[in-house]
Amino acid sequence: MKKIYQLEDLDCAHCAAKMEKGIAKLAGVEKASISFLSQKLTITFAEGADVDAVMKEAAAICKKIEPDCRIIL
Amino acid sequence: MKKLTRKQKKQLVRILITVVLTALALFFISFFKTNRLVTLAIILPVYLFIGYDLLWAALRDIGNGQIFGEKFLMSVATIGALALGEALEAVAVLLFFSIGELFESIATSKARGSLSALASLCPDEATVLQGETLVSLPIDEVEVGSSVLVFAGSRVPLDGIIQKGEALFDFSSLTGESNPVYLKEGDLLPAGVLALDAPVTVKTTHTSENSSTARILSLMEEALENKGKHERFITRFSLYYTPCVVFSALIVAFLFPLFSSQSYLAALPAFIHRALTFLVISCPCALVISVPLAFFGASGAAAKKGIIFKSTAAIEELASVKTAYFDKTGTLTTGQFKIQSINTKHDSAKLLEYAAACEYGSRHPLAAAFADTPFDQGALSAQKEIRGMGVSALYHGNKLLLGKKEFLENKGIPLDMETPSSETVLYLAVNSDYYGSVTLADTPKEEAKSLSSSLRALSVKSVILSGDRNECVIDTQKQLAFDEAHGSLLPEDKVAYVKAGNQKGKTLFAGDGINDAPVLATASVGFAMGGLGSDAAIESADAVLTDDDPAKVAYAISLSRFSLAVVKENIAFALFVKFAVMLLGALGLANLWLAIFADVGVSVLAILNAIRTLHYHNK
Repeated sequence: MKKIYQLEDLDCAHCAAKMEKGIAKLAGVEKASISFLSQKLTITFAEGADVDAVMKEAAAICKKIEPDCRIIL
Repeated sequence: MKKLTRKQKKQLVRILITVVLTALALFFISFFKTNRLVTLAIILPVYLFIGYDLLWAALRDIGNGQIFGEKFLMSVATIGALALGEALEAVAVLLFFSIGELFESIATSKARGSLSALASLCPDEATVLQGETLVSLPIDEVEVGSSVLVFAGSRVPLDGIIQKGEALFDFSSLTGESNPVYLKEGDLLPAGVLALDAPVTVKTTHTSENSSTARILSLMEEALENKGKHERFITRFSLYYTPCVVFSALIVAFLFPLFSSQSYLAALPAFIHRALTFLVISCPCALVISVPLAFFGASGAAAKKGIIFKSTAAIEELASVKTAYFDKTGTLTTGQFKIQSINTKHDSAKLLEYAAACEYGSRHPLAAAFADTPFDQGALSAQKEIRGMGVSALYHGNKLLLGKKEFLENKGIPLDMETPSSETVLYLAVNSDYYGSVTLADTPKEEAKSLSSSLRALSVKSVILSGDRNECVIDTQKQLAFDEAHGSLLPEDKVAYVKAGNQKGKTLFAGDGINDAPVLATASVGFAMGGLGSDAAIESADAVLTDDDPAKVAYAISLSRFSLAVVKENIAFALFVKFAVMLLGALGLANLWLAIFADVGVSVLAILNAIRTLHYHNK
């Protein structure tokens, strides 16, 4: 299952790369990709993944790397 | 510098104030020849004015365990400079860093703007005909099957079919084609096109989120997620670059003094100063942005010309294409048949008149060839079509038979002339006597005529792969001067040819996408023609040509080569400057001034270079 999320206040391109790497490592995530230019996060979830739980962790990762950046759920 | 956001304007004002304050401070310091402590006291407020948010963000980063954040490293570099008595350098680093960030932010918002320009093509509201009354509705509330009124001079809000009226339409926003197109009742109308001279009523076929423009937009956004080789390289690189630079800085600061002629402690400050230059150029941001920005610009430029790329990887692959394969019918040719030659012992004008009478009203593709031939409609009767064979009719009392060779032979009519048997030759018998034959041919598209020479100029081999008869294919090859042509191919034969081409280098295939899906997928880059309507084409292709113009393929190749060159320039240039500055820094030949100039300068140049792709025009 693929979902696309809008990101807010993502100001730094290599931070986006770090977030992408961090989110891709989360359990339940098959593939994660962040486009800095369109400010979009695309996540392919694994079969039976708990989307809410994954997104909570993903939001925490983003906050840690760029405190202003928010995932719009 | 128009259309800055509030945040950008604020930052610009702050930079300008800092420049003035720094100049004043500099004047004061050199005029009064102040000592170190007073200098620091004068500079420190300026430093805090330009850098307070950076220092705050650095503290937060540390709290989050982000020791390789650019903000933290910048803070360390400038605090180090202050401690070493290089107060002015510290301010300069922060000042140029802010200038670089502002520039980056303006460039990216400009690029983003070019994408949303496409989204603003569709009006927000539609005028819907409900019974006798006109109601203005937001487009996302308009249901499929509604009647929508489009006024002259306004854009079509939703995909639909013309229900009433006829008008000229400007498709340039969707396909780049500037010639207006005349459309009438029953024709398909995509959202975003402009009605030029008359109002029409449109019966909607899609909701707003499924409209062609929305699909193009989502394709383009998807393109940014399928990152190409260079972009993946640069993001991976950025993850290792900063730690490596920081580690090198530590070596320069604390190991190099061991080899100094002075004592370790005496040499330490000078080497720490050298190490600070490393920290200043530790941010890979410009590099990381400039690569996707270049491809982003390229897809924007391509979209303006009616080429939609589904991934940036496709742009990269396209740049190194060696062989270009094209489907014939519908791709290189119009798919409309015209009369090529007439073969008869009798009157050829009469033969055409008879053929036109037989084909009158037929939906067969060959019938269109006779649409312009005049005949006496009143004298036509008993017209009957035998599917896959031909037509029989009574015309001026003559019994006419028009069709395949077998059609006449089955009726026991011998052909007294030698003519090649094929799908595109029609045979005519009048009152059970053979009369003659007409050879029809598909006509090449006007735009296709320069294609092979444009491809040759790019050293790309041009090949036609077609399911059509060999003679027809060879004929088209000659007319269009293609390098190679293969006819009578089944879809799997086409796949075999492209697979063989893949052995020699990258390939592209352009076709209509419906029966060509396997070969579109086999080629390194698949171009689907006229993809606006066909979902099958969009699925299997890597790029979509919105207006059926095969010549755009050559444009797409040169655009992709240009973008790739820009990307390579940026990577090479940025890496070269950064390593050169690090080397000079380690040797003590570069100070923070040079380092920050190099860092910001590289960012600005790389971004400017990347943005060039947005304005790329084919000469």
